[in-house]
This record gives sequence, structure tokens and C-alpha cells, in this order.
Amino acid sequence: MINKLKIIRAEGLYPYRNQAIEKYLLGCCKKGEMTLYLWANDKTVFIGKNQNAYSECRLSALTADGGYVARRFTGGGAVYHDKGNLNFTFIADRTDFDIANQFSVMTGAMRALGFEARLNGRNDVVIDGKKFSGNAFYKSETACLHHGTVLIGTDYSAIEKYLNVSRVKLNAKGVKSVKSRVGNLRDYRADITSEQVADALISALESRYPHASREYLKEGDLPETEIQRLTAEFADPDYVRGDDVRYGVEFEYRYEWGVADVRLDFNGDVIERAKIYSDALDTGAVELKERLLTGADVTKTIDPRIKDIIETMGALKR
Amino acid sequence: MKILFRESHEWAAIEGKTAKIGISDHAQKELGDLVFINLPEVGAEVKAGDVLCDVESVKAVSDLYAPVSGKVIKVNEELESSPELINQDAMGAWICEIEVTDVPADLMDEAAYKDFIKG
Repeated sequence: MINKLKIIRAEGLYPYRNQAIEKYLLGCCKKGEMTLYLWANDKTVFIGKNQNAYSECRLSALTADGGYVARRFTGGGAVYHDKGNLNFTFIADRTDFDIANQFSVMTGAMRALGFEARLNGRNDVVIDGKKFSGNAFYKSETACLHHGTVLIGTDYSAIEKYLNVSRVKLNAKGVKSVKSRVGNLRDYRADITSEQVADALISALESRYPHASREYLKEGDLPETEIQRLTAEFADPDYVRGDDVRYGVEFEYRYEWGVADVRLDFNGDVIERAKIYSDALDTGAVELKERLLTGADVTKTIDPRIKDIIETMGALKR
Repeated sequence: MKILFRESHEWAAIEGKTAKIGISDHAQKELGDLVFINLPEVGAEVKAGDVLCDVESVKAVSDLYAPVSGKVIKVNEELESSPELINQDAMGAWICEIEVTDVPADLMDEAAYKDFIKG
């Protein structure tokens, strides 16, 4: 039974620190306590625990624009976060953890704000069939965690730009993202703010457990050295990229020199193998392209003779 | 061979000095369809009760615990590309093999485990 609520809001938008706070709170989980943590990230593609970072988002475009890629320790697909998105995290002991109950706190908060939100499948909350909240879960023998997004006024064009909603066929080991039709709360109510959503979530939780004691925490109440240590773990490029960075790309395109079926095997940003099946008459030129593509780093200066291939791949990925 | 279960729903099939490790049919039903498994590393020394590896299902990421202590000597690489084999045959789809140094006394035999999950 829940007899204590712990409520905390992140004070910054730096994704790795916000993840560090979440993980720290998970480690503090005690029987009888429910923690609600509210946080937002600046320009971040947030990938699932077992996803391939390279095949799930346009890494180079994102980092060039000053965005972040972060890997969460829960599963599922890639989502985009910015200041227009609020994240909530419920943490409780396994014996107190109840996903249906947590969802009802969330949908109750939405109803209080005038939104007819309902659960769709096991992970999504929708309004009018449009997903505005994706949810994911982690379970250990003791502590459990349920976190989700709330799209309030996220930049739709950034979602399109940074997430691979791709016409290119990508082959990678790992969990694939599924494209969803998404909606912002602001599409239904223009004046809604993250602040109001956060307050509504807190009120909904408090009225669910009216007899529980309440503790409102600030970041300053947490052990700073531990938070910094965890922040460094989440920011570590090896953790974010993962240990399996190989993936394949396949696409077809009609070039001036012929129709080409292109297969590229990547290791991170570097092309390890290239094969072009083509009806081009100049087979020598196609073989030269294959040779130049092999070993090319797509984030560096590209040889003009293979620019067409790299550019169509980029354009199709977008 | 002797099959013992941990309260967190892993099994150990002990034969001589080694044990194959997996999760119970009850656990696979609770987890739902598995989409990914991070196998333990060969050579890793584990203590009973330590996190052995983790799995991602359509519902959640969940930690799995070592039912016995010892050294991981083999992993079932087939599961990397087909984690659903655990859903299809949980008692057959072993995750890893451990060279056993200690078997905790609180593991349950199949009859006791069946009672345990009935609650």
C-alpha cells in the first residue's frame, strides 16, 4: 500500500542529467512509496534500450543542429523530445507497482484539463486516435518504473527531420521503431502549458492517495556527486551508440546514368561494403562508385563521384 | 538432471557440475512476446541473486537473476536473433550454461514452484 508520495521536477533540460536523476530515484525506491518525477529535455532523440542509434535517427543532422541522442534503459522505439514535451516517471516497489493504476492517474490528469484521453494498446495514450503519450516500463526484482511522454507543443517538423521515418530499407539488429500518428495537446487547446500538465499530474496522484504523506524534493536535495557520476554514464558515447553499430541500408533510385539498387553496409558512419545493382551501360563507372563508397565516412567530405548516392540516401531517409 | 526454480522465475537444470539456465513458462507468459535479449557474457562470474542479463518484451525491460553461482561458460546465441524461442518453449530455450560453484538452499523443485505461482 502506498503511504508516501515523493514528487520532484527536473530543473534543467540536459537529457543525460535528467536520466541520471531518474535512475538515482529508481535506486532509492522503497516499499510503500510512490515517486513521481517530471522532466523535459531539449532537442533529443530518445532511443529504446535495444535500438541501433544509427538506423533509428538522423544522427549527423541532429548533432549538427546541437541536438542530443540519448538511450533509455526501457524498451520500445525512438521518440523525439523538446521543450514542448513533458516526461513523467512513476517509480514504485514491485509489490506497489500497478500499470493500470498509473495510467488512470495520467488519464485522470488529462481529463481534469479537458482532454478525452484513452489508452490504446499497452503503451500509448491517444486523443482522437492520435498518440500524444508513449510509455515504457522497467522491472527489476524490487524496483519498477513506468515512464511516458506527453506531447504538448513539440515541433512536428523536428520529429519528421530527426527520426527515420524512412523510405530507405534499413536492416539492423535491435528493436525497430514503429511510426505513429502523433498529436500535441496544443492542437486541442491552444493555451495549454507544460506547467499546467505537470500540476495536473501531481494533483491527480495526490487525490489518488489522499492519505499518503508527501515529500516535495528539489534537485538540490539529491547527492550531487552521484547524480554527476550517473550523468556521465548516460552521456558516454559508447553507451549512447551501443556496442553493435552495424546496419544495412537498401534503396532504389533512378539516376541519370541508370536505375540503381544500392546496398550499403555501415559501421557507425563509415560504409564497410557497397554493392550497386544497376542497368547502367557504363559498368566501369558503377564499379568505381562501389570502390569509392567502400570506406567512406558520410559525415566527412564526400568524393564528388559518389555524392549522388550519399545525397539520395540522405534525402530518402528524410 | 535436477531442475530447480528461483522465486523470480528462473530455472536451473543442473547436471553434474554445470547448469543450463532459463526462465519458466509462467515468466514468459507474464513478460509477453520477447523482442530482444541481452545475453550474459561468457566468462562472467555470477553470484546467485545477481542480475544475470535482461530481456525486452513488448511490455517492459526486465532483469533476469542468476539462480545459482558460478561462471558463465556458454550462451545460447540462437536467442539473439530469435528471442521468441523463449515464448515458444520456455523450458527448452536455455539462455546460458553455468559452471556451478554454489546452489542456494532456497531454490524450489517443480512441485514447490507450481504451488508458489498458484500463490
